Amino acid sequence: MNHAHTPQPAGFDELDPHASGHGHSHGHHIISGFTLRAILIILLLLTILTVGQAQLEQYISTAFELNLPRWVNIAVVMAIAVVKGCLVALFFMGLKYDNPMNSVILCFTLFGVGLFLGFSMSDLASRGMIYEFKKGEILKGGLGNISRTMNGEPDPVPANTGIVAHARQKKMEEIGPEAYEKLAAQFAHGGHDATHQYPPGSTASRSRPRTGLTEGLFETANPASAKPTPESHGGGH
Amino acid sequence: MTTLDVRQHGQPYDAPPSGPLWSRYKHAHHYRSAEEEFDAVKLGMWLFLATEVLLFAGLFCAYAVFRMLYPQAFYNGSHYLDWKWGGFNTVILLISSYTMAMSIRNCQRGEFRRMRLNLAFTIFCGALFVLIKLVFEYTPKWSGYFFVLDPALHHYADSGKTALFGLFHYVDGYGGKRPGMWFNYAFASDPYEPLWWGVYYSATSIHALHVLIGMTLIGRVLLRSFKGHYGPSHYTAVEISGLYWHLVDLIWIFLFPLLYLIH
Repeated sequence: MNHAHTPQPAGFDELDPHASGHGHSHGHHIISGFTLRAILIILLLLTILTVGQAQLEQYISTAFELNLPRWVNIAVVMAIAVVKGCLVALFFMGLKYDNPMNSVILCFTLFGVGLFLGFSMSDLASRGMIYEFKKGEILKGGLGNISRTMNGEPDPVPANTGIVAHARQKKMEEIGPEAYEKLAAQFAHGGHDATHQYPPGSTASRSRPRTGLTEGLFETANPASAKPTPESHGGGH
Repeated sequence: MTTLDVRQHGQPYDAPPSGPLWSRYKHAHHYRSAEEEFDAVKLGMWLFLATEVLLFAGLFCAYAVFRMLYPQAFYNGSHYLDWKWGGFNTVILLISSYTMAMSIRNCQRGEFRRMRLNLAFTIFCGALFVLIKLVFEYTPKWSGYFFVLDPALHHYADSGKTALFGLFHYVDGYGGKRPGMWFNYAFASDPYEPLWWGVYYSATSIHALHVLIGMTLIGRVLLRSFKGHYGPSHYTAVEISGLYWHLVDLIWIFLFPLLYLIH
């Protein structure tokens, strides 16, 4: 029952017993200008590297007709992105000098992202292991048998055509097949630059090996050679 | 116990005015010290950034799932994009992240003129990023109208049709690369290309929205810095606006290779 105050040192603040906010000095780390500049230069170099490897891969497949497996491209590009991300988080965002709790939050979030992506991917990649009859239940997505009369005009192409086939047919009816072919040549296969030569091994109709997909699960007719009939795409589900 | 009255009346600033605002700043009344306030605000910002990462995780997951299901559509899709614009925008964002980090350093050292220059340059970079995205990437792909200075314009036959006083030239057949039901591009070779455009537009436009929000936050910090709100002992808002800006950069570091570089 002794309520007598123990003598406190001069300047003791009972609202802030540990003197965490003593005075105005925060004592925060000031990251040196040299470090920030060095990090920027490394980030720019890594950007050049990542663009360069994508170009190199294109060059190899054009010049030597050698198509590297798809995962090489993805792995290299993503590895560089992870290194760049770590540099930004550690130095620009200051996690290296910061309260470790903030790093814990970020790591835990990334763990959540990993769960999210990991389970989705492993589900998709292992669809081949489920029973035959269940395989057939999975429907293709994203085509939608939608009505195309958004602006109220009567649509000449039936509504149950797939979106891509529909766009093609409408253009053909608008300008005629000859004019269509002439225009199509200009867009070769989709590139922003019509003069660019795409590697012979990876045209739209002859792609690099498909990965991650159960054989025959999402079988489609060869879209490039398909006749644009109303039933050609997407109408059958 | 001289500081008690300050806290009890909820005044974050020292009572008799002397010196610039930042030097008189103590802390909000519900904190015990400026240090505690800084740590708590920063912790809150990191928790918010965690939800931002999870928001983009949904988009990355959509990308991964659809790429796995329809690799040809995504192969075609990445070829519609020009890595030069994507790469240029990456460099812009990286430099802006550097200037943002520098402005925090300037603030900590009391170099206010440099701090404002760095903040203003960061906002400029953000504006340039969004402008490039709109004028050179979204507009031609969506509508077929190319900006008159776009180097890609001379690859295509001139249709003679222009818009906005001749600033935009129409290329027949180029546009219509839109997501889902808005898709209207007649030369696609894979039936699933509208899905690619869905992922592309949602990921990049949500990211561009974050760039705009980041610019607004930094603009606020810049305006308040003229009134002397931020200085070596008080720069919490500069710090957390910077964290937001770096996160925008961080997301783009992943979006750029996924959309432009993976074939």
